[in-house]
Amino acid sequence: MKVYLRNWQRGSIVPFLLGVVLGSCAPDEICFSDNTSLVQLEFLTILYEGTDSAEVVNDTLIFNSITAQATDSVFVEGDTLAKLALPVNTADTVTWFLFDSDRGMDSLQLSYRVFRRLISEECGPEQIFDELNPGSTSFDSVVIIAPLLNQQIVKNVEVYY
Amino acid sequence: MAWVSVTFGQTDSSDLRPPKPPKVKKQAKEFIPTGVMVGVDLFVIGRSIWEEELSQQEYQVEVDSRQYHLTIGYGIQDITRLTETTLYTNEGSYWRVNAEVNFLYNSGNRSKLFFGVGYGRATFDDIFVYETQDAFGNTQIIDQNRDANASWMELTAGTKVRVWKELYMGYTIRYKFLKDYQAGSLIPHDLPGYGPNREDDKDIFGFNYYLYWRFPFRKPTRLSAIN
Repeated sequence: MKVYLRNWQRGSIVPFLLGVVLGSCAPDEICFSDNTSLVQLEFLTILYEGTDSAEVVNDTLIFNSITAQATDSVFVEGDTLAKLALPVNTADTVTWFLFDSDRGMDSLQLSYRVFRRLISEECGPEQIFDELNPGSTSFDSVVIIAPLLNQQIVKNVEVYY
Repeated sequence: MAWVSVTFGQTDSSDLRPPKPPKVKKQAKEFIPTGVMVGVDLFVIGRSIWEEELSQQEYQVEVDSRQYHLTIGYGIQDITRLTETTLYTNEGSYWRVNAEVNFLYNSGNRSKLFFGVGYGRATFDDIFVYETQDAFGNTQIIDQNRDANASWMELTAGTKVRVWKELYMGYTIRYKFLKDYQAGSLIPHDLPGYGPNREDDKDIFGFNYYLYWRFPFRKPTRLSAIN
């Protein structure tokens, strides 16, 4: 019986040492993230609206500038585009975009939720923008296609003018 | 005459059987509490010494019967993860309740080899501070959770070994699963009592190494010590 007890005592020490080793060997976190702060916009227009031959087409706009509130940055300047990616304000849950184009001045408000996490001390922070919603706009209509901002998603918002 | 002798033969053989022992409520005996063990987790104390960012204590109380145990654990945890660009702190407490079955109840020395199932719950505050640099300029982001909580289930296995008098040592390996947490916009990096809140792997293993003192409800008789 004595030997039996000693064996159990030995058996108890070994897992302790094993635990010390395993406890200090947490698996490495993957730093790569698909999440982005860029919202993908596509501009569309409806041809022959109100008729049987109405058709939605991807159309370009000539942008003199695209800016946003809370920054002096100009995201687009003197370019003709039908699709573009614009950054949302990471410190807020609403971003106001201002479009100066051949149509004149337009605005688009987008709201969203920001989720934040520390991936690891080595990788740093990650921000996840989700639950994208359209606010007030001067465009004809705005449709949210994908509410999550992610590099794998090619279109978040359809803007009709 | 032949019929009579056969009948007598049957009667004789049944009389030779040993008498049945009186029925004992064996199952009820398994659940009668025999003592309380109070333990402290040496492993987390060791980690708190080695890892500057961690401060943790965990205590356990166990009510044991002959074969079954009910353990209640309580712990406090404080983590500070500081880098050149980020600061994350998490402070909270947790408790867990486990029901365990001892498979060494016949060993005679009160050593235990057990398997069990349990439930854990944590309450914590955490805060995350970092800077962003983008088209909107340099911004310091401060996000936090107040009174956030988490819960999980556990499968446990381990041993408890009698070392000296009523002093016991033993370890518990925990497989933690069905993790759930309620928090705001800040996704917690750590859940007290559970471990790292990784998004990629949902289930994790945990390890505790306890030092116990047992308070028996009555001194074991010679017979019960053998049993």
